[in-house]
Amino acid sequence: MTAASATVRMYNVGFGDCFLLIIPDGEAVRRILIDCGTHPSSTGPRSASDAAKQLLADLSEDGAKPRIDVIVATHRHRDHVSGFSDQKLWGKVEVGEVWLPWTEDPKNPAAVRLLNRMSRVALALETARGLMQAAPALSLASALIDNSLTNEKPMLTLHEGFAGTPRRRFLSVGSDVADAPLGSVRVHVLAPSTDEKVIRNLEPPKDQSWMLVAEDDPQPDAEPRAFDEGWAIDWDEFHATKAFEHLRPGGQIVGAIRRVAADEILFAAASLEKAVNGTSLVLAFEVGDLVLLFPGDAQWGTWQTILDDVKMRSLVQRATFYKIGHHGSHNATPQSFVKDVLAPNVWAALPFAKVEIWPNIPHPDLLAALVDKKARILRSDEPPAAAIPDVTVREDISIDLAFHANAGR
Amino acid sequence: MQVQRGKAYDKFERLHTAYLRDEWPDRRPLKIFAFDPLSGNTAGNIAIVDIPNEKLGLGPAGERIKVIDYDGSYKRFYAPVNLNEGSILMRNGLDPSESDPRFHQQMVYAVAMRVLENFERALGRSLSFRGRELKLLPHAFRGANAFFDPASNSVLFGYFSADTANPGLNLPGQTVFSCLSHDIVAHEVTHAILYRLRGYFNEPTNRDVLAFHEAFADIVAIFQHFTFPDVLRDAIQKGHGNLQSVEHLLGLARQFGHGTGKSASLRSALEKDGPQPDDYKTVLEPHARGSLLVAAIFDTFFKTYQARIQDLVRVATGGTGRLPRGDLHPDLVGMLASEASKAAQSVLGMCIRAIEFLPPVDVNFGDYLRALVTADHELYPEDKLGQRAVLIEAFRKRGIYPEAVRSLADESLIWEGAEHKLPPLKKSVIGDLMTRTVLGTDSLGSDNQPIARYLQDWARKHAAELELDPERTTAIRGFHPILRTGSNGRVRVDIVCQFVQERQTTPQELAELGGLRLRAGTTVVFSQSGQVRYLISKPLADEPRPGRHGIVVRNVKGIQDFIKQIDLEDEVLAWQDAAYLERRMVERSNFALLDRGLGVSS
Repeated sequence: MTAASATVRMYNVGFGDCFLLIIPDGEAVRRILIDCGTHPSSTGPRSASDAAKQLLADLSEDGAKPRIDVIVATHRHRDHVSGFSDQKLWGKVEVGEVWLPWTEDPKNPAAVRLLNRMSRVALALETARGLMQAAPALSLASALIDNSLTNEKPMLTLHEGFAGTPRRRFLSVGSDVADAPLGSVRVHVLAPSTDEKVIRNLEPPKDQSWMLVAEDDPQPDAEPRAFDEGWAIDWDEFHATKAFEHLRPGGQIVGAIRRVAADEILFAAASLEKAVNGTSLVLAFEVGDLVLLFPGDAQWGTWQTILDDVKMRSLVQRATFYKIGHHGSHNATPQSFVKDVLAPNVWAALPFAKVEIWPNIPHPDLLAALVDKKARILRSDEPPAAAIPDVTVREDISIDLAFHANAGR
Repeated sequence: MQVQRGKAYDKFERLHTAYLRDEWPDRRPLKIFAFDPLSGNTAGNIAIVDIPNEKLGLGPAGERIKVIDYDGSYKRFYAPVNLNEGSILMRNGLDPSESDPRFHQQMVYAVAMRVLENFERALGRSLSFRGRELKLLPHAFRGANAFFDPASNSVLFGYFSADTANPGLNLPGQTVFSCLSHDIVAHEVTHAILYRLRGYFNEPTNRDVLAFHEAFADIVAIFQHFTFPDVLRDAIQKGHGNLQSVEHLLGLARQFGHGTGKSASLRSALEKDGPQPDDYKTVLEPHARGSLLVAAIFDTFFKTYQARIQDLVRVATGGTGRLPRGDLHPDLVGMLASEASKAAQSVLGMCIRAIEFLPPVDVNFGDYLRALVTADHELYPEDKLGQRAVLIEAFRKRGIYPEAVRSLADESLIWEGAEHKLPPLKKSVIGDLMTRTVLGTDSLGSDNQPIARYLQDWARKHAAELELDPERTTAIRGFHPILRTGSNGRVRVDIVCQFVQERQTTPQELAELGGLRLRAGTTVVFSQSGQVRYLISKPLADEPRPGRHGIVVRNVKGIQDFIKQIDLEDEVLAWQDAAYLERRMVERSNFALLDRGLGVSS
């Protein structure tokens, strides 16, 4: 296999993903953009909209007409797509193809059904959240619900926008993309699966499975009502009645109901988050002896399928670059993958900004396992201070990692 | 002649008042759904249960069970029922109705009382919730869930709209009330009672602890089906004598399962593909894992029932033992039903009595097998019906073995302890306990400090044999007699006492453990003369070390590794804040989240 050159550029978008691959290919240069989005709860100086503008400027250098050969949106979470909101801006970029997971295919009935269910659950969760006062678990849930809400604007750009009338592809494991305008760059699609069982795992939680508790005025038209109005006695009336004194619920019970309702919304929101993550495209780009692995936010189930498959396992084993999935959360990168599969000295990129409410992201055990493996970790929130060979830091804007054809790696 | 209030009337009134005051019957009949509203047409679904009569206020509110109909989703109440009203008394309680909240209140009260009575009968003593009533809220919130909240000692039931896409046997969007499911009420009330008997069994120090809570609650709920005679007779006729083929009898919460889009009962006492020897290693989610234990128990029950009816079937078939095709003779159905009911009482009783023979902390399925064998041996030393052998085999088939025992023979499984020949308890302590039991006062009440101190002293002196740390404070968690009739017909008394120690942790350690306390404990069973009969120990050491025969010594590292494993499986963990991290093990044992969708969602 021939030694190849490539540059992986990680734009700093805070808590979110935005990667540009720049791959010289004979006379041509292939450009692939993977995701552009920032989480609504992200902190940090920059966001995806900054990155989008910067990207346009970077591509227009030397007065060239900006062009990207392939834009990949791994899944529809805001922290991966919010940067595509500005349709006008992206209208200036000529794009060869747009790749999305099969679950985005408007002509696939199974995909439409799944997406409808997911948006319905996100909306139902938003309604539930609206009914309740602030509880700690609720603010955690809110951050997740925001991330999953329909994201119409960026999805519209991805489905219909860009200059050059790009072809849309809806990919699943094993999809053949050999005819893409990527020259000698080979792309392997490792996920999402279309297997019945796997799809069942993508089902969002049922919207009747969590508790709904109104804090103030209950919605007059809310359903279901337990009984006809005639049976109901309101709070004040009940508490003013001597004969019912022994039947007052007391603060402990009222508090328990409220607390559990908030916890359940968090759990449902986390399940929805997991379901959407499960639709992630997982791609491996093979250029000569380089294997650049982009798992989106794939979680445990997807990984299991990949690692159980001999071919896919041997491919990820050869990874020279790994985008750390899901900003380093504990079950988005199996520790067995790091310990037993990942090659030593691999480059690992962590696009990330600390979010106070999630002390557990990135997970310290995962980082420790990567360090054990002598992985070279690049973090967008803490770019290397000292000069490292092959790494170029541009203030807090982006980090370039260059692989050279002739230098030993 | 002017009619006036005369002597005759005074006499009548005196007698009548006395009758009203003193001569209430012992039992109060009340109507319930034996299954749930969905099973409307199933024979025996509308059942009249007999429960102990007590003074009842509006609610109903009794001495130990109180129904509070508060709806937290709408911040309002539903009018409480007065079960002493004539029109209700005359018809054995309100008729079943989904649209009348008062029937719902009646049903949760009746089912809870029935569960409580089953426990009292099996344990041979009265149960209370340490002076706090168990509160039942039949319509606490909108949502497909029901759970026991230990802090407020209450059970909260939800209601929800049946799945519109896949409502199963319900109407799409129909309101499903979890409080109208006999099984859900029995399941949740059992959680509450088990929490009362073993307050540390919701601290998940190993895979089995929470699964045990779920399994035990399912076992009690499903066995209660066998106490409804009409249900049983119908099932025997339909199953042609074979109970295993009747789905609704062995399923748990049918309407709830259908309403949430599952197209089946929520869970079943039968495994779909029969027992698998590696199930115990691979099935980890608490409800599913609990189902292994449930299946082992019902396996035992079916075999016991088959053994009990063999003679009847031979008599009925002229010795062939093969029942003819077509309907069974109603007399035979009645006799088989009576045998099924007796077998059910016997197995359920064994399951409940075994609780007395469990360690105070860190229970696992193997401990429960040993407790079952010990409890059963106490009553039937000879195992003439072979029930014990069947039980052990049922556990073995599912890969459930106790650790550190030499074999699966009776004598290996029965707990040990008498061989230490520890000095007996003082006679006066036993006398005091018996007096308090008869009078119904708390054996460890605040007025009885000397007894607690005496027991603590006793434990310190024999810390080595009890596998406790002599340097640490020992808490006494429960001290009570259990009564049984010995083979010679005499009443025998045993005394059960639980000793518990907590290993102190720094705030840092506690946060790493997710708020889980590190406890060791020993249940001691004494004879009526105060001699130690069984020592049921759960020691905890800093470093791994071997235990004496039959006892496993746990160590802190093992618990930490277990927590790490659970962390990996927790999909919500990434999205939680620091406060949750420090309490994560406590939150995970929260019954509300554990019973979320009653296990449907997992």
